[in-house]
Amino acid sequence: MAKLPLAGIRVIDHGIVYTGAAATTMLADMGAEVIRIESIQVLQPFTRGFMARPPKTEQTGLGYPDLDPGDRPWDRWFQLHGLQRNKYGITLDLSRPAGVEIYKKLVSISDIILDNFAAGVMDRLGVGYSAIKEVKPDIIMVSASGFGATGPYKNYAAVGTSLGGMAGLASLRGYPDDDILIRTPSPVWSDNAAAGTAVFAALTALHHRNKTGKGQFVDLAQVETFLPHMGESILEYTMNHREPKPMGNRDPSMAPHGCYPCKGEDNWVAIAVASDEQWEALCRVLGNPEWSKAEKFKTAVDRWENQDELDRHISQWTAGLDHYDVMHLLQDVGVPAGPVVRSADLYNDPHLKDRGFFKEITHRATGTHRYPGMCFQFSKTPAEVRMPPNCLGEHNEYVYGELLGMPREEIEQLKEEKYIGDAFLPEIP
Amino acid sequence: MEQALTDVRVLDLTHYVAGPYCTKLFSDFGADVIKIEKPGEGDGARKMGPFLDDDPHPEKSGLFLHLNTNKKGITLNLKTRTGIKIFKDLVKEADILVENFEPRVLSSLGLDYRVLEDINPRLVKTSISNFGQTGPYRNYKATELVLFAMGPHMFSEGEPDREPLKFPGFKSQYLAGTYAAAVSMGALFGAKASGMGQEVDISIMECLCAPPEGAGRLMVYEFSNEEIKREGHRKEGYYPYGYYPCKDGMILIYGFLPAFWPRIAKWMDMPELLEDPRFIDPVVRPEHHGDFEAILYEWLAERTQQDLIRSAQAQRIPVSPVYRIGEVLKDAQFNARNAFAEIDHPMAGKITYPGVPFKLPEATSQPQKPAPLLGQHNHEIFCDVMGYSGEDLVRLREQNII
Repeated sequence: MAKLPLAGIRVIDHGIVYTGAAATTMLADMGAEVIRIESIQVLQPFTRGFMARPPKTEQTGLGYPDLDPGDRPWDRWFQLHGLQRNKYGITLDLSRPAGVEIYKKLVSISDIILDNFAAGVMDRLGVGYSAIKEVKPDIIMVSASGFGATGPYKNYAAVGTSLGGMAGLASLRGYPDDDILIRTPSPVWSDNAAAGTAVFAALTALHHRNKTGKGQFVDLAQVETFLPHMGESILEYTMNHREPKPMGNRDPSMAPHGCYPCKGEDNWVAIAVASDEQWEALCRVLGNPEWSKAEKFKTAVDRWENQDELDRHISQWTAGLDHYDVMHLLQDVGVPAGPVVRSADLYNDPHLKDRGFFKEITHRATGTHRYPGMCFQFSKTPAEVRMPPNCLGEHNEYVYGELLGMPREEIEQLKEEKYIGDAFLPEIP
Repeated sequence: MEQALTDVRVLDLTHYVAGPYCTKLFSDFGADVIKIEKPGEGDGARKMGPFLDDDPHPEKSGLFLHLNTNKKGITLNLKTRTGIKIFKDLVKEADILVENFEPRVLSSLGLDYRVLEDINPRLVKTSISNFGQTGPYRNYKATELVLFAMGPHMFSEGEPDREPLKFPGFKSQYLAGTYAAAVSMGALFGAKASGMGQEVDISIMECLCAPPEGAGRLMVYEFSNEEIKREGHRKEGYYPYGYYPCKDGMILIYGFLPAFWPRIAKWMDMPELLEDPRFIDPVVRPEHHGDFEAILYEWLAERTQQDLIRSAQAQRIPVSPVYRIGEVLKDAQFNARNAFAEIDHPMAGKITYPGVPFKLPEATSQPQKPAPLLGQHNHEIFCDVMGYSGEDLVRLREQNII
């Protein structure tokens, strides 16, 4: 079997929360040796839970298997499990100079460093690009902060939800008939864009290094990776000086185009009709009812102009049907339709099952569960789960012993002096 | 200084959004991207708005102009033998082929990977489709609405008593394009190392379910059996959190974690908040969401967006602007970092576009080139690169091959 494409590339992973953690996972899924660095002195919220040792109540249990944080909550948190397979995990206290010295040894045998701290954090730890390139001149460092390392917001704190607001996503999100914005921030959607773009950035820089021998520092602002995803809205403004407005589930030209109620509690189906052929096919499935023959639904323009009424008719039809059944009925005649799925639906979805999207993993802290898999399939070097999500400090022996060649006694001493370990210090809340 | 990907050639058989965004990432960083369009008609995105001055002209679609910067455009009819022959000649010199047809299309043209691999064993072929190249839904049709519905997000978007909402625009397709570019780049390393290319199968549905955010949601369910619900206007009991109006716009306040409360009191210069039993007792605190917001709304109404952001950030509270598109374009941070680019197009003129999503200091971006006119680079590619004569070009055009 041929090697995975990124075999032989070593990545140091400071990724936290979503963006950084997922970017390095994509590199790991493609075969890079990713070494995740954490510290027993600092709990990264969202990455290993909000608390090191949460009290056992129903509320604090959310996010842990069976609502139970267990003895090692940091090894059981959902964000670790959803995102962090195929990586080695080590701990190292970078707040003390000896920790930084060890870190530099690891840097000297690595290709890429990726972090998504606020701009300046790596510098304050003494492991910013200027310090690191002394050790490894051709290192590639991708720093994926929220707003970037320059400009008036460079020191500002950001969370994923900040970025959608700043890039204009929030102002376009809502029902067309409701002038109040949906106030609950969107899911941290921009993190998806930032994670994928950070991988592309790291590999593009690596390609450049392979050609020229030169490494570089990539100051990647997460919010800028999301701007192109807003492209047509931005051009609507710059071309026509017109402020785009929320359209809900409506489309600028297609109708019917909406989300319709189905049988059961809170079940919905999305239907989009893109042509006269699809409209005729939809009408056939509905049994060509009298209303569908009306003049006002004759052309695409008529249907768009009378879509409120059209939607009422379609809702009456869907209301008695199962949302998956509507998908199959319409897809069989070539009309785009799909159920609005819950997580449970996705886990049971026959298509995702057929493609093997979910991976069953047995983890020493959580037992056996079904994990969301990769966003890609390779035909010749299939990407698999080679390692379950890493426990805190799980691979200290491998990295310090085998990779860096430190003698056993030295590793033991690091443990004693709390440079490394596999549990957060007792005083961490 | 040369751009990073100048030695990478990408054959671009993509249309609409996901595929073109993937190849745009390559072309924006210097790759030689040859976009192949259907003669006379071109990429379907040329028929999609917004259009400059609302003129639905194929060279004036904002969507198309945005998604195809820095590419070379040729036309080629793949339903002709000659067209297929020319395409195969192009495959010989390509590193990556990206396509986002429905899964059956390339096979029906006799362009299975097995055939392409014989021509060029190093070829990476990336296929982006709604649901992937295999599985029971592989031939199902979708639009952005249907794709978003079938991912883990839409069910929790919107008001609890209304229908779930799609995200604005084409977010699922952009996301798949981004991931496809990252993974194609990865596969290219493998092809260079081993001399052996392969097929990359990207399903937009799976992009929505993969790490980070989609996978996080699915994992919560797997661990806790918890479905994320629509919360609409506000997440009851969590405050301050969400978008709030101020004197001259909107801001996001991310301040619901208990650790933020002393900072909020300091920001608002209201020390009394720290002693108010309604807000500090964790048990009753969620019940007084409305009480606090009444105070907050009044306070915000007298203050400007930029002042609020500055003063909140001084207290390390993540407060940031919530912009309408016009405001995005005026933002000081974006402009300080040159996040937008002005590009001059022969028919659409000078327009401001979103710039490249990151910059490589060691391999600068060249001044950006506009999206190609339909068939703009036919002469360059067919004659200068492939060696056809001007007369050949006429013959090819007359037979509706280009």
